[in-house]
Amino acid sequence: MRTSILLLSAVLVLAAGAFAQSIDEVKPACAAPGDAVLLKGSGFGASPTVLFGTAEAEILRSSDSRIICRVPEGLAEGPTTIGVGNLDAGFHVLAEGAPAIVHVSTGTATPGMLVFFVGARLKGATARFMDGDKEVSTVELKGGRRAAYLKVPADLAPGTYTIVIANEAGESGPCSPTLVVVEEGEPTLVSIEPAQQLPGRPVLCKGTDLGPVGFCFLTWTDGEGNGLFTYGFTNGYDRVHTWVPWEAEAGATYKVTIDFADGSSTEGTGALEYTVGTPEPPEITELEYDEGPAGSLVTIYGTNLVGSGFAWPTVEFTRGGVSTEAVVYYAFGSYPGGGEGGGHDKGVPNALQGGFGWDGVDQILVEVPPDLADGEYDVTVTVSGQTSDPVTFTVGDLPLTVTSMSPDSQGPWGPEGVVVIEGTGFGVPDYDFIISEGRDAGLAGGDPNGIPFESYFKVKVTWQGAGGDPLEGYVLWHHDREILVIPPGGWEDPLPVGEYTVSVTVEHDDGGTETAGAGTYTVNEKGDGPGHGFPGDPGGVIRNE
Amino acid sequence: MRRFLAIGAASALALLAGCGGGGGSGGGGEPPLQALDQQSLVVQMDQNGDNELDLVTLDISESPFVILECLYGLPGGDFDDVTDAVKGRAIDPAVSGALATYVGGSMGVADRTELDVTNSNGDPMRVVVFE
Repeated sequence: MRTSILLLSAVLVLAAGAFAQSIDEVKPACAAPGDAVLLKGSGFGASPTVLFGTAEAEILRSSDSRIICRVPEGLAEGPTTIGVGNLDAGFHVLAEGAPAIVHVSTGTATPGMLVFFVGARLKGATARFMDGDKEVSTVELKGGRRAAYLKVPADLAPGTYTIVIANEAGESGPCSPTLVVVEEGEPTLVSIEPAQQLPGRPVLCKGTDLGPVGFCFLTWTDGEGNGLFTYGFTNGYDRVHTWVPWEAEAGATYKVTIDFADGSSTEGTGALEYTVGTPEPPEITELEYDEGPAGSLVTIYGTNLVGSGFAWPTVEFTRGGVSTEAVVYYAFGSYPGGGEGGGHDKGVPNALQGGFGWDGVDQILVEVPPDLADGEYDVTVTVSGQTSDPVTFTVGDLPLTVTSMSPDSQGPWGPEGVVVIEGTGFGVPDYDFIISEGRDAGLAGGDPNGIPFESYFKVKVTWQGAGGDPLEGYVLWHHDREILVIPPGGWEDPLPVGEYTVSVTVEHDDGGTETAGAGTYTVNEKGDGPGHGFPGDPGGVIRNE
Repeated sequence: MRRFLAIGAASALALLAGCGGGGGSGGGGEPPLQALDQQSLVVQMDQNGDNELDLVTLDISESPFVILECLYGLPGGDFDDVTDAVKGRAIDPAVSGALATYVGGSMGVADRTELDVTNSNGDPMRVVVFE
């Protein structure tokens, strides 16, 4: 019995997060019943229990290092403790309905400057500027329930003030923010952190009198007087969040100045020099193919092939000292995540990891420049001023071959899907992709009322049955190594049951043609098994009845 | 004769830069790991395209997110409360999708987080999220 009680106690303690190692932060440290509170720490365990005093809180979400929970209803206003397992942290329960603060735009301001707050129940609240116990000034907050702002009274003397946010229900309590009021001066840029940040990565500019709240514009001037530009977010006084221009040259030093929306600038107090960090150079580990005709598509695999921010890699094919830039269809990959430097928090987004199949290897899909003469070329990738070692790609026509055709059968009601024929020597269509700007992008060639690209294709795929003329399939797309084609008749007038010989015919630039067999394609009787119905009807049973 | 099929550079860049742009899914799934209010989110972005930073409170229980409150930034460091005019309007679905992805996966690391997103026009923009 005693053993059972001890075991039960142990289980309960474990469930309560007995191994909690630390509570590092409670955010906000003052909140009202019903508010969500974020605990940061470590060792919270899989199913922590959080107590506000003796009242158990509803856990909204948790991990080993984070808990989001709700302040229990009915708690009295005043100080209490938050307990997780064997650890406690201080907390202050606000009166129900009292304003709560989670963010203040700045801790230092000048008279007349705008300061904004993010929190809860801010609408209609007042801000009392307290010098110790003495109320020096009171202003009304403007704005809404979650975000509101005030202007520091113009006649407020320099000093340190506690701003108590209050409404009819109560006030912000011991979490009331502190604001240091200083006299206005010239915009001055003091530091940019962290040092030697990489192109495209976030940096935090610190200084004083850094313009009014909002956007500002930074000029990064190199040693030759050429300027690069970024925009920044200024908190109105001492912080500007921005990033190193992604075009910035690795290792280069720039003079940085900031211009603000009110016309002020740090130029008057002098530019600050900043040396850009040097990223790891791009490295090509593999080409999808190392040969193919001009105009064909090839994927480049490697590391550091994409830069941070909006850096766009450049791919060049070089022979005999002459370089030709290739069109990049797409590029994706990753760079080391942030977390510091301006509060940036960005790494590999879920979309890339999942939706686009990023597997740790960067990829760039390029078109071999269509005007290249046959021969061997060095392929290089340049990003953020760094160029990879070259790999060799041989430009030249490949022999017509067919290595596979899939699927190679269908049911009597039509093809299961698009037939994919793989091989080489299918030729390059007479169209190309270009990179266009944003909303102006679109189809720049072709008859919008016609079959897309039909006149640009170089291949025909035919199905030859036991009798009659060969029937031509409907080519959806092709490139030098792949053809996507719908068998003749599609689903509207499907091929009769039987066996067909499929052939690929390529039209060469000189007008001549060449044909290769792709194999046998079978149109089965009804009930021949799965995969022979309509698309989306994998059994094909219903329509085969 | 060559023909040209154009693709949006910004769309491709969205893939490149790890932007959150794209899908317009809502804030379903796990509750966001943020303080005070689980149903709304305060962001700072140029909502109305006037090159000024706006403070926008979003209802994240809707998909796409809709505006609950909005303070338009004015030149020179002031705000104009336009909540009555814009309340209930959905924000750009691509931006909403990016924010939903972020909020759903956020671990409350920072009070202030900047996100690169791509809007539905393919234009890159930066959004500050206050957690």
